[in-house]
Amino acid sequence: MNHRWLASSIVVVALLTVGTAPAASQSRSAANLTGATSALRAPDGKPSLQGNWDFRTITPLERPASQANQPVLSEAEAAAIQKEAESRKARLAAPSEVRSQPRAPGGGGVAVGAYNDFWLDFGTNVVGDRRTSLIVDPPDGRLPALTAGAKRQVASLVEDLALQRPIRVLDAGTRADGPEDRGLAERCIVGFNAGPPMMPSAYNNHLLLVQNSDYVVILNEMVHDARVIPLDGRPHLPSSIRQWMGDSRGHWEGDTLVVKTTNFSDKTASFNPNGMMALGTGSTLNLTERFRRADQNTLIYEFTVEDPTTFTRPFTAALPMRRSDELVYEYACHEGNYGLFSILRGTRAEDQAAK
Amino acid sequence: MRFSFFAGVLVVAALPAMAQTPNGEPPKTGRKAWTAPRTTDGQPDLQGVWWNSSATPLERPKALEGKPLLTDEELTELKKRAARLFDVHVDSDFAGGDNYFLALLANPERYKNPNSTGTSVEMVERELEHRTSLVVDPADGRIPPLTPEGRQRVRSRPTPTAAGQGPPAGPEDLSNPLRCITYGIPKLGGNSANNSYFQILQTPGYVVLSGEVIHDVRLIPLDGRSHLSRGVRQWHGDSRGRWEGNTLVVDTTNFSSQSDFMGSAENLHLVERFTRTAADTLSYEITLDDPTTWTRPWTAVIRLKQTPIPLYEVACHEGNFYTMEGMLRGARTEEQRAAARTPK
Repeated sequence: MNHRWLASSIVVVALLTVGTAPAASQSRSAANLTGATSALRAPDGKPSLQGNWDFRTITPLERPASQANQPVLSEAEAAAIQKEAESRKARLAAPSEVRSQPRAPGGGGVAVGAYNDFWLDFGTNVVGDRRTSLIVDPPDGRLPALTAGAKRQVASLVEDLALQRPIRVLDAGTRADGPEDRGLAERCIVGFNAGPPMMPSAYNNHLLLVQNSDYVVILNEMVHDARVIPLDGRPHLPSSIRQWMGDSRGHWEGDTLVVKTTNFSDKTASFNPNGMMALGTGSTLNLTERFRRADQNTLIYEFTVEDPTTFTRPFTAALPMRRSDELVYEYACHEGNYGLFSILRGTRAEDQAAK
Repeated sequence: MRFSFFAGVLVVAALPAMAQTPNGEPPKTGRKAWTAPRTTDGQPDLQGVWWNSSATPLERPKALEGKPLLTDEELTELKKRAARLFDVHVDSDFAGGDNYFLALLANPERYKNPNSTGTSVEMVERELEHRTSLVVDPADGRIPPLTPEGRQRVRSRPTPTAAGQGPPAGPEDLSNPLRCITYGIPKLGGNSANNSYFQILQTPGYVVLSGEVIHDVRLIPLDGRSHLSRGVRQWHGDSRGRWEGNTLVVDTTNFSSQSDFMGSAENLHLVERFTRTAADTLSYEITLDDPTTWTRPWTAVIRLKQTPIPLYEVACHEGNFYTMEGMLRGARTEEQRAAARTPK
């Protein structure tokens, strides 16, 4: 989420926030992921992955240095972290301090303020198997080292840093000479958590998956991007055709749905560890996602990033999703979104003032 | 599959027009009726990529008043005119929507349209049929008159160019497609002569309508659940599907006040009926009921053709931002000039 996007899709956010009362999310914590029950079946005998899935979590992508030797939290530790997250959420849900004093003009690109916690919806749960990182491979739970010469962009929400174009971060950006200087999600080109791969982010961490024998459709609430994934073994698009969400092909390996995606545009990152960071370029990315229904309420989502021009080895993250009875609502990213327009206009005004 | 890109493919894929009754159904013959295949869970199978290349105008042209069907000779004549008028070597302008059919009726030396931004080379093949309007009800093939309120709304609705409305004060004065918000539903498709493709997928409990234009996807539950509460309004409304025999019926309410189908918005009750009438043919019937916009409900039938062509990704605002920025900037520049001319 970007602080400059105050006007964007407030209704959707509000609905989600209202719809996900703490009680609903807490009750689904700590599902036992190893003792998988027999998968629910679709009419063709394949496991049914169909339904609304919620991938909020507070478990970080990478294992924090303070837990370097601890791949899994104890039950007591997990409970304490979740309790702290809940109380923090309750604290921040209190009315904000009113700060209506305008900033002095000529702030030089310094952020003017952002959403308060009301808008944010990371949930309060660690992943069900209490890992300390979403990354399961390498075993240290950290992103592998980058290759020499790998492209890397790190943007800031506080100020615009000099970044080499094209901009592949999702949020923030570099100067604002034109819309292409802003992040891809800020431009409403892609969602900030829809990927692929999907990664939990500030809000709208929900998807609706439907399937039949020939296709799987993944509709991410953010930003109503649907991937229609053929399962019929057809080849990928020719490598000259490049898409923002790549080109996905699925197949079953036992009870696991495997989706391989290539043909990403050069204007995407190989991986965005978070909205403000872009590593590598999508042009050399081979992404594999695995979906397996562990039980009635749990969909294990795993993705593997292989891109030898960016990472010195592949890495894999696992993100259990919880079944949700909440609805996925419509999202119109550009609706009321003056953010981009105002960023550009503000920058032009500064250009004028500097002359 | 943009029109310019696939024009060649479409020529090959175009199928000969078949004689039809006014409701769009093929005429009854002595042959055994075609039966729709079933999905694994027993639904009539409507799946595939469907393409609307209809050349039939939405409303019956005045010149054809009282004539719901063309004769075979008239149809042949119109096809001849189409071949000549929109041949790549004739310097005709781009004729989108109903302009195509109207151009064939007028049959000028060349088709010229001052509002056209392209040439006939960019046009898709359009398929002529005997029908003279997509509107099947009212029987005169014309959209019913607007109510006074509807007239007012149509006058003030944002337009693609804001032409005639004065310069846009902001993006909301421009149309929803131009803002990349939505191309709206229902889609009349071929009549906009651009990206008139969508894919139908069915799964147990859901039907998916995936449109190529700006990747608008509708996931429609079939489980009989009730509509969202009246307070929740969406650009595409809230759709619920059910089967009536071999026909998929999709009932949509809860449109936003900013949704816009020919001026109709939050009071629109849309019913769409999808019936597969042959392996490669889908009858798409839309009934629009909005007493605040039209004096009576009306129905149109569009025939869609199945195509093996896949859908591609459309990122509407990719590069398109400049269109809107340019229009808004142009409007502000004009205002500044006008202000400068005003004596102080």
